[in-house]
Amino acid sequence: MSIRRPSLGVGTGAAVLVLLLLLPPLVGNTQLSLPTEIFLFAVFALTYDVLFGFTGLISFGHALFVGFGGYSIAVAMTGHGVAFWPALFIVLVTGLVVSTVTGVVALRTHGVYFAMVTLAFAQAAFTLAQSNIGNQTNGENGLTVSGAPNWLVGPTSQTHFYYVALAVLVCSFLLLRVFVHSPVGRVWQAIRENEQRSLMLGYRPFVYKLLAYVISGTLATLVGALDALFVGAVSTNLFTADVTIQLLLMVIIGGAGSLWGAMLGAALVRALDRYLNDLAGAGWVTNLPNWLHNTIGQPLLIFGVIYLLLIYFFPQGIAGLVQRRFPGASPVPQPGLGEVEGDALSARTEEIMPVDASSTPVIRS
Amino acid sequence: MPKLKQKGCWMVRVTATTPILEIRDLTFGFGGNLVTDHVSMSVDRGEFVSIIGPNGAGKTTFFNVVTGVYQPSGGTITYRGKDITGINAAQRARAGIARSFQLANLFPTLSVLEHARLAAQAQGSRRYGLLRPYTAYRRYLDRAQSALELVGLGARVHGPAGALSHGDKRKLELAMVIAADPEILLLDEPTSGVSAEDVPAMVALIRKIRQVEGKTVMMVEHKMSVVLDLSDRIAVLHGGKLLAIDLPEKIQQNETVQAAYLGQDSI
Ligand SMILES: Nc1ncnc2c1ncn2[C@@H]1O[C@H](COP(=O)(O)OP(=O)(O)O)[C@@H](O)[C@H]1O
Ligand SMILES: [Mg+2]
Repeated sequence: MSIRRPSLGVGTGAAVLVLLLLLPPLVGNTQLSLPTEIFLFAVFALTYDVLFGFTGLISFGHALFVGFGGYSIAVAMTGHGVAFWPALFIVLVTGLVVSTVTGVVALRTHGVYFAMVTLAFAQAAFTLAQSNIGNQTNGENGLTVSGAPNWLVGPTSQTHFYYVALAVLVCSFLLLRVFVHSPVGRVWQAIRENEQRSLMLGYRPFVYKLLAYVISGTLATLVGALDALFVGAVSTNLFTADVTIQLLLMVIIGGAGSLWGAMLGAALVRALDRYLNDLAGAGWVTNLPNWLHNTIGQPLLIFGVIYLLLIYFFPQGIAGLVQRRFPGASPVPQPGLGEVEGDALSARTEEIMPVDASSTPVIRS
Repeated sequence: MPKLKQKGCWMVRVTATTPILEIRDLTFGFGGNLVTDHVSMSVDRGEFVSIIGPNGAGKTTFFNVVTGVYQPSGGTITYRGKDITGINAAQRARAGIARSFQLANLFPTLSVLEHARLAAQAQGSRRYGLLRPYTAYRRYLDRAQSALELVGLGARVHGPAGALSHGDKRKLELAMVIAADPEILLLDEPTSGVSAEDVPAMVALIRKIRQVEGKTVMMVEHKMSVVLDLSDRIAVLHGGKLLAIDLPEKIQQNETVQAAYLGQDSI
């Protein structure tokens, strides 16, 4: 089953990459913001897929990393005049520290509690940024990001950024591909399927989950910084659950547990989002009778319907569909949907920590 | 120490002074209701001990406490001379205590081969490898493949484990234990759910693991013919208490055991 797949997959991937490399001269400089945005979100989706699709962790707080990356680079470069590369190093360290600290706490819990603790961390960061802690974040107004090097945001910035984002996406994909095919990556999938059993085989799920969480969080933080440079500003919106939910949708639509599926999901969701928003503002839609205008003019409504249809017809996402069409492709698992077969083992050896107010460090100023 | 009647006995004599597993006063309960009630037993290296007892006697729970699923409220577990009562289930597995589950406890979408491979990989030093593909570690794949061939699943290693029949899942459980290459195997009803014509092969395999590979085996089993066929000693659990642990013929004659178990239950 693994003989045909690489050639087919690598071939398709290479063709798409060549196409993307040739895209800027073809479509022109002004059309590059959507694909650039897609590349960056595709990396976010990849990092979310490592958690959700591969390790079976449902985080509601992935926005924490997106926001921390953006705010770190903004505070470092705009606030303190740090140069680009040192600032990026600060972002890297921030990502490692934030993901390790939050991971150690959140991974003491399981399932919906884990989701709630991660959400609480992101909310705490949102509150911190909102309250302009230490006069660094400028509260609700957010920060502009300036001081980026010319090669990134020079006069032809759109093209430059396009290629930088594409390179970052390709590198992230290749790196995560190596990880998910490693011994550790295989244990992630075992934990997703049956955490208790992986423990009984001799693996320590906590350590493996923390590895996944730190890798995912650190990469998301780095790309969060890049996204802030691309947009040119950061705001507290970056920390909201909306961001996380969007990543979750991308991964589900693309096919959880499939790296290329996550990237495709990101492309689909961002493109659809842009298209539906354009549609809502288009002249002919505004001139439609009220009831039509109020439906077609609501991007979220249409998106919701499309999303429901996709999930109904392709419950395992695009990757699952391809898998059914080409049975040679790598199988797509269904996180959290595995059959439950337990012994007297349902009780967990690692205690489930109840979420209480004291476990979430919400600091108010 | 009872004398052993089977071929593995030379191994037992060599190390007869230090039992591989020594359990003292092991106690565990669910909400004050003792399910493992001051159980003590000592198992020699290379020995085959079966555990019998009616449903709900606490056999599976006993395995769960020994393998670290549950923390006992009292008593100690000494393995190869070391007190392991305080270490977690993963550490116990890596120290060489492997178990199979009464109800197949698998990774449904992962392939059959991957199950045995994960069992082998867990014992290796490369279990934290992140940079090389898992296929680069051929030894885990090879050991998995041969374990699967031993149990008769060699031809269907690529399908997902969730699609296996009930009997094949039980075989996979056994293959995972074999692939881990442990010192001591705890088998929880290995033949239940296995079709009648496959049972002799499975029994032969378990005997071989013990005799050829010199492993220590503890087995929970209901089929009395299998128990009598394989065991050096038989332990009888009833209501969480150890009623008796003795040679098979002594157990068959034991009146307490007959009253509690052999008489009332169809075996
Ligand atoms: N997770 C659990 N929670 C509460 N009671 C349990 C649990 N597991 C087992 N028991 C109880 O403990 C007793 C022993 O169960 P078990 O060890 O599975 O017996 P056996 O394997 O000998 O059939 C039974 O009365 C069972 O109901
Ligand atoms: Mg049982």
